[in-house]
Amino acid sequence: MALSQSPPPFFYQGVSGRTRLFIAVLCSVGLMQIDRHLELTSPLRQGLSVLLHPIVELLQLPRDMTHVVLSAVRSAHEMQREIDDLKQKQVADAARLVGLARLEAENASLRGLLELRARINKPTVVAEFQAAQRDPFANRIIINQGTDRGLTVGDPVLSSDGVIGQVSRAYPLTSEVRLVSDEQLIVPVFLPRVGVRAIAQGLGGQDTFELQYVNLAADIHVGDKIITSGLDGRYPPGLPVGEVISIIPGREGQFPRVLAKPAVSIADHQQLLVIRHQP
Amino acid sequence: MTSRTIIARAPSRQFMALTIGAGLLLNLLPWSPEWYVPDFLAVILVFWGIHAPGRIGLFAAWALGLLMDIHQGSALGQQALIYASLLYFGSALQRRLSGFSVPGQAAHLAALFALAALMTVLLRWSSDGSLPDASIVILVGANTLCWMATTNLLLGLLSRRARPSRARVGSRARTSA
Repeated sequence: MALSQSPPPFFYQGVSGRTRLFIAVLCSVGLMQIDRHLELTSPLRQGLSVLLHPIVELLQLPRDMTHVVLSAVRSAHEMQREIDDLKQKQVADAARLVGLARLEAENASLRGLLELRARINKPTVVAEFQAAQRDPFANRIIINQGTDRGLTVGDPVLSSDGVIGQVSRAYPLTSEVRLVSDEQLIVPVFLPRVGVRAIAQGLGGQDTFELQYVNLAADIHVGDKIITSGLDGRYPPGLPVGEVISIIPGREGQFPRVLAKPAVSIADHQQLLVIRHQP
Repeated sequence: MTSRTIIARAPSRQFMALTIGAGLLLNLLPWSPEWYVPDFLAVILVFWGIHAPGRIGLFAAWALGLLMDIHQGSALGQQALIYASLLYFGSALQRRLSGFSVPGQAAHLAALFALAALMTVLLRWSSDGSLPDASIVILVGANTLCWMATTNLLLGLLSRRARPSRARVGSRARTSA
């Protein structure tokens, strides 16, 4: 086992190993005691540490350099990741912001409905827009309230911005609503600026309606507001219906064609108010 | 391993100094505190204690330990005592170890390193009452593994130096024929 193959010296070998160990132990214990209780060893410690310092510094150099390089790489990497994270966050936030805008609109609409409801003084049912019917000739939508909530055919449907239309078919749980622009719907209206009454009838397929039987002498301008007159007893008077967008003067003895667009775009309103008809 | 030790010849003083210097440098390297880094210098000292008893002075080991004390900031003399003891007991184990296979030798060494760890714990505890955590046990294992690797490496190096070159063997065989 031993690598040293020199013959063992038979004569004096110096101090025996056990004695050396004993001396070493004594030195150690003594040094430890001195180190602990007296300040005598601090010069030794300082001197040796000064000797050791350059070696340690040198040994730390590769690590420190690796650290510098790695941190540079890592910071670049982290920055990239941060950018990616922020981009993702931005997208997510954008989605939330859109949701927020929608909620704000919904809130405003609900507030409007609340005010409207207080003004109307009739039993009302809040309904939500459910679907638009796929029919290019009929402007109808489906709302999520039906006969179970007391809705009947002919009930006016409003939004916070004005008249939407009228219930045309009432099902147990849903109802079909004919919009103001539907050809089949007729609403008695009033033009407050010029003080004339007329009948609004949808044109079908387009988002416009026409004013029928307008007073021939009336001085109607583009942009005139149209409100409900309340003559039929179904629509409460004074609700916005739309505004005049074009006037085609009639020939002698004929009524002029007055085209108008509804005050409410159904796309903007999720919440609707249905005024229940009181028998 | 025993077959290697037969071929191996006595290591040169330079080689021993080189290994000890390497052990010291390895110990001085800035290791992460989370790693279980063995005490390379202690392992080298034990190796030379076993394989070349008497070649390294006990006081040299003691001085090296003092250096490590300074580096680690431990009480002066603590590591010195450990190194001196390791060298002494390594030499004492020399005869006994030759009868064992590698696992048996490793078991002896593990006991030796455990003893050193116990001494460290006692010294620390008696000086300031602090006790180590369980990592000291893992460090004993790390030291033992490091000793096995070191033994393999150094004995391999030594026996390669002792082995005659093949070319010379071949030419000698040819001339004899």
